Amino acid sequence: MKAQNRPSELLDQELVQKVQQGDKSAFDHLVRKYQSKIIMLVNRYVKDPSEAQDVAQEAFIKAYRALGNFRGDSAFYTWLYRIAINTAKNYLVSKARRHSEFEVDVTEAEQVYNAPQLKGLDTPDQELHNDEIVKAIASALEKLPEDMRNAIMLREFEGMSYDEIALTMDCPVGTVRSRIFRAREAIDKKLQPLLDKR
Amino acid sequence: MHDEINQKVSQFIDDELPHHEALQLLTEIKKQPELDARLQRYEMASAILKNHSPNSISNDFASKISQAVEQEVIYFLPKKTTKSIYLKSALAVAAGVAGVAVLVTNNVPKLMDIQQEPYVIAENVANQPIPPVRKESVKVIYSKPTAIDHRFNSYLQAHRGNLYTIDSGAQTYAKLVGYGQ
Repeated sequence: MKAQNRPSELLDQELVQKVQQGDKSAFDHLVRKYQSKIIMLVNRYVKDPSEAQDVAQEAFIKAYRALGNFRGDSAFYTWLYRIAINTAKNYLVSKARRHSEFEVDVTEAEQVYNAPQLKGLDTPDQELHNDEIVKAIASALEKLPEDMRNAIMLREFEGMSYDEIALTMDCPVGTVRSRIFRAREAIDKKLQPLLDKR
Repeated sequence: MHDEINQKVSQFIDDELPHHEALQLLTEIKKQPELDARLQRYEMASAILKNHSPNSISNDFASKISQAVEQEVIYFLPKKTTKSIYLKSALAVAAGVAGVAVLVTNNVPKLMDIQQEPYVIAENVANQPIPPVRKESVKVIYSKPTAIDHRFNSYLQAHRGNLYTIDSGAQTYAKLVGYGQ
C-alpha cells in the first residue's frame, strides 16, 4: 500500500483542507488525533511531562497559524512533527538561557537536549507511578491468551498491518481486528485504575 | 454498541479505519469525553509497549487549544491546487488563441488589400505608355587656349620636353609644382 493512500493521510488531507477553508473544528480533530504522539515526542526533548504539554500546545497553535502555508508537499504529521521538534528545541534553548548567563545558539539545541541536567525531570513519585504502570501493562500482556498476545505483539512490536498479521496468523482480518481490540481492552482494565489514582 | 465503537478506536490508532469512519469517530470522540479518555489510554499502552515512557494528557489539553484557536484571527487563502493552475493556464492560452484569431479575422481583408495594392499599381503602370528615354549627354567644354597658356607651354617645353599643358591651366600648374620638387 502506498503511504499516501493510507486512511490516516486521507483523513489528514480532508481535515487540513477544511481548516484552510475556515473550519476551526476540523483542527480540533487533528489535535485529538495527534495529541498523544506530539506530547510523547515533545517530552523526549523536554523531559518534563507538565512542561511537555505546554510546549505541545504551543506547537499545535503554531501549526494552526502556519496551516495556510501548508501545501501538502509532505504528509501533515511529518510537517506537524517538525514544528513540534522545533518548538521543543526553542523551549530548551530559552530555558538554558534562563538558567545560564552564556548565550546558546539555536543550532546547539541538540547539545542542550542531551545535557544531563535536563534529563529525568520526573519526581520520584512520578517515576514510581510510571514504573507501576509499565509493570501493570507487562503483567496484563503476559496474562493474555496466546492468540491475542501474538496479535497485539505483531502489531505493536513488529508494526505489521492487520492484513499482514492475518497472513502470519493464518486467520481472517476480522479476527485480527477483534483479537487486537480484546487485548487492548484487557490491558486497559489494568491501566485505567492506575491512571485514576493520579 | 460500546464494543463496536471501542473497537473502532482500536482500529483508528492502528490506522486501519477507513477515513470516512475515522472522521465520524473523531466527531464522536469530541462529543464523548469517555471515548477521548479511552483513545488516550490505548495510545499510552501502545507507547509503553514500544518502550516509551508513559505520558498522561490533561483532560483539557485539546479544549485549551480549541479555545486558543477560536481566538486566532487568521484568514487562510484558498489553496491553489495544481488542477486549478492547469485550468487557469489552459484558459489563458485559449483566450490568447481566441484573441489572435479575432484580430487575424478582422485584419485579413486589410492585409489582402495591402497585399493586392502593389499588384494593382504594377498593373496600372504596366498599362501606361512607356515614356521616351531621355538621353543625357555629357558635354565637354574645352576652353580656348589663352595667351598665358601659350607662354606656359613655351616655358615648359623649354625646360622639359615631355611635359605639356593640354588645355587646363590647373593641370599644368600641378605638373609644374611636381616638377619643381
